[in-house]
Amino acid sequence: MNTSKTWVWVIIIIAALALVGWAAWYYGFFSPVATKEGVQQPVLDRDTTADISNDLNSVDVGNPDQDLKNLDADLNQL
Amino acid sequence: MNKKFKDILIMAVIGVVLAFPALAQTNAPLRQDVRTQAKTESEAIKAKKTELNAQLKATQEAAKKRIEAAREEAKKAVEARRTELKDKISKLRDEKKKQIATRLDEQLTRLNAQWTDHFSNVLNRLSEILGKIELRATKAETSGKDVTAVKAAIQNAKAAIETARTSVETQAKKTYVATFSSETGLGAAFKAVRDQLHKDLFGLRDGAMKSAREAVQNSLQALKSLNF
Repeated sequence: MNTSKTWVWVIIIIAALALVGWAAWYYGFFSPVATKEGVQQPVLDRDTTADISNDLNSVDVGNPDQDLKNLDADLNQL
Repeated sequence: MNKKFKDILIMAVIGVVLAFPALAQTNAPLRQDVRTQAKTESEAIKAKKTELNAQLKATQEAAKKRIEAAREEAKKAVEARRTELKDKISKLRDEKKKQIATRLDEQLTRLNAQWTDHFSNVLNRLSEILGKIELRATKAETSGKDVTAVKAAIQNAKAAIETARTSVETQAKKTYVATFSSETGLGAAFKAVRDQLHKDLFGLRDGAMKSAREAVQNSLQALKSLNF
């Protein structure tokens, strides 16, 4: 009597484990868990607004004055 | 009875322990949605970046060809006058003045080419920066920000850069050849050409070039106001 009871419990446990395993598989328990990066906002370009501002500040339209003044040395000799 | 109760309790505990992680995954489809959304947004930005880089490359190459064509056109147009000038210089009696006049003629042409190249490079840089602003605006838009003002400012900046490119091209077409009839008028002739080059280069710098830079600055300001 005791032996058959044990077998019933063994079957119930196996069935329970199988059910739990199936549920885990079904809900993606075995698939890789979403990483922190995976749910972040996409960041492909690392330029921040401050970086862009620095880039723009470094743009020098220039001053042709010095180059033109260099001509004056020759011009004065004519 | 106690033993049976104990066995059931153990089984229940095992069942809960094993079932809990699986139950915790019931939000897995939601997480997958978030991942899918993030991936879609990421791909949209990547596509935008590729599109912008391709646009920049095409624009810069086209601008380079336009300037080269303008210079070639100017060179042909002024060929007769330059030959005439060289002929007149060769007839000057003062050897030193001959050298100076030849040098000045070369320098005037070289300076115009040098500064139109510089302005073209500045416009290329401004286009690159504007591309960065546009990409960041796209990112802000995917995050739910209202980027209408930024987009309008970007369009204005693009138009201003294009206007400046046309002005640079026009400047590249200009020629600076002194015209004189006698040796006494040599200095005045070169000074007039030098002054014209000065006026044209500063006009371009303080006009179309400055406007293009300001338009990009306005786009950046609009982007900054998003606090993104």
